[in-house]
Amino acid sequence: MEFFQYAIQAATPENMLWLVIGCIIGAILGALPGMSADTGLAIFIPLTFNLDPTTALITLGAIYVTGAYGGNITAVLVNTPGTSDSVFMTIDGYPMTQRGEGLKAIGVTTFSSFFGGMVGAASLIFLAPIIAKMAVLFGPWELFLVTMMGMVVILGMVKEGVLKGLVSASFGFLCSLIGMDGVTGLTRLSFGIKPILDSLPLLPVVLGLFAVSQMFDLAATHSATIAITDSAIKGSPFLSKKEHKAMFKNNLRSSIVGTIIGIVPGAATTAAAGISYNMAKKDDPHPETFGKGNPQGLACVSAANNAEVTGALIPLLTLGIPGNGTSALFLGALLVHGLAPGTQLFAKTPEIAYGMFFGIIMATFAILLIGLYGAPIYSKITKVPNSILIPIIGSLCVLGAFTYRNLFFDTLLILVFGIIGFYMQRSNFPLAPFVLTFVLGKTSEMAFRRTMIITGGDLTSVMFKPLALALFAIDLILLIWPFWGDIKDYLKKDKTKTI
Amino acid sequence: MENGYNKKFNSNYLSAAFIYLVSISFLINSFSIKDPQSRMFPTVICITTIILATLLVIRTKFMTTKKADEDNLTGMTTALKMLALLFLYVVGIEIVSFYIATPIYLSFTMLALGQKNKKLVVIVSLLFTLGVYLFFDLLLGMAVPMGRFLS
Repeated sequence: MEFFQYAIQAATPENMLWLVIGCIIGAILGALPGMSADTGLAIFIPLTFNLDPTTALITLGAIYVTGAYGGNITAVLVNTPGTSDSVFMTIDGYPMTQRGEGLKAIGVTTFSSFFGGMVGAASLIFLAPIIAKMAVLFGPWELFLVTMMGMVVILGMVKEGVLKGLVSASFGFLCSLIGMDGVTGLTRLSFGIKPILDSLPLLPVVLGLFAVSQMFDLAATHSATIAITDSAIKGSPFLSKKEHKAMFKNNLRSSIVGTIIGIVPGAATTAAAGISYNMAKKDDPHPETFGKGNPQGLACVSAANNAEVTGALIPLLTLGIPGNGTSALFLGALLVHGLAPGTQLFAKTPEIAYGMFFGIIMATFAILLIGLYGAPIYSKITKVPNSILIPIIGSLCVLGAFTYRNLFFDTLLILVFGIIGFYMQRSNFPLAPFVLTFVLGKTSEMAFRRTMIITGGDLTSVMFKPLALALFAIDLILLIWPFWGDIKDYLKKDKTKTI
Repeated sequence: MENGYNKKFNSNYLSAAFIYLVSISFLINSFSIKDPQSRMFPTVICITTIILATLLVIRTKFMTTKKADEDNLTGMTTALKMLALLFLYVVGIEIVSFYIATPIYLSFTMLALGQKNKKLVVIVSLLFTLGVYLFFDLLLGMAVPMGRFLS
């Protein structure tokens, strides 16, 4: 009830205007390769110094939410994820666009992102204090098990080509270890190259692997435009009741997974998307269609992505622990406005806390407007001649890579990973496992080694805690689940032989 | 066992060679890490990667064709041309600034990709550069690379 009272107070014309500005900026930056919600937050935090704290947080919340969604549009239409979080949208979204269903693909990702965002926002508002208690229970061993969850799903994703999937994952893990060791501070595997003494930067690597390689792929295929079919973009972004019903279970499950993963500090959006994708694929009557333009494959990752984004604010606002890198910027925003995260935020300044929640919910609704009513405009990009689109993508990638750290080195990095990504795709090495292990590798290593330090090498002191056992069981299920059908068939065959 | 792959060259060998090169370099480099705990993961992952690359070679040489082994490296030459243009663009930005290098890069690349409408090439190149200036530089105040001569 408190929420509704303060939400009404927050709905002033000034706040609404800043909300609209935040939504537009967030969506544009999220869509542009190399830009992201992080960029928007970093630019706008100083610009909000002179604003009222509620107005400032509503603006930043809008950038945060729509920034996470914006990357979905370019991922689906052009196979160029705007952010690393949108990588999984390309798997099923882009094939849909190629067969002329770009409008429907935008509709699916828009609605599912809205669904996930609302589940995450509802969890934030109504369950935050309860759920936050769970975050405190997560020690390094539990975090290790969560990162393992994100990695074992690789097996489900690459069932048709396990060896190449494992090679890709292993290569990604190796790349994640470059730079500073998080436990000892020693620099490893950087060969003395200064820009990577800290680590191989995520954004230029993902930009290269996906966006720049897509540029090369479009050039190499010599097709006139992205859409393979000559017919106009088919369908409508508005889904039918039947389609909504078909996606409901998938969206709900993925949103819950995304919210839970978001609550765990350090677990990445990529893990939420990967786990949801695997679950959806296993549950689908036609799993072989995943990766070829199955709307369920796009829906699950979209829902998980936006649920994770709002879920990540739960540990931030209740415990002061950012759930992901972008929410860490939010922590900076709170501190800049003289606010301290935690129970004091709700006790002393409830109008600010609930005002921000109101902004996040309004921004989630804005996703529907931006996506559904803007879709006919965005989808026209698939009709732009590739001879114009390709160099523009290239220029935006270079600009995005440069603005990340203002380093010339990053622009060279996108070229290297661009050609690697192009070669990998053409040689049937899947990119998703690389990204998963690249994002989670170092975190899992640090979590494991911290566990060993804390326990003195005796894992039995942490392995049998209830939460750890539950997470281990989930890891085991996720490991066996993709092969369960094959195991059952094999055991049946064996029994028949014996008889 | 039959070698079901009849092509003269299989890209899996090239892939394995690249992976060997990277993994072995990293493995050698990891020996210089003084702390054994810090060295553990890089060593294990390098060895795992080498083993996987070896399995890939063995499977390609001795086992039947899998769908995953079919590659499609046509268009590699065009991709390398795009890479070269992009590299020159990046170097150009570093020297003369984004605002000068971009219209040149856009024009050359559009023409190289077969765009015949020269008016359109000029308009797109200039409009895009102007758009970047207005949105990123003026509106958002982001640092756009100005090159060595202009910065």
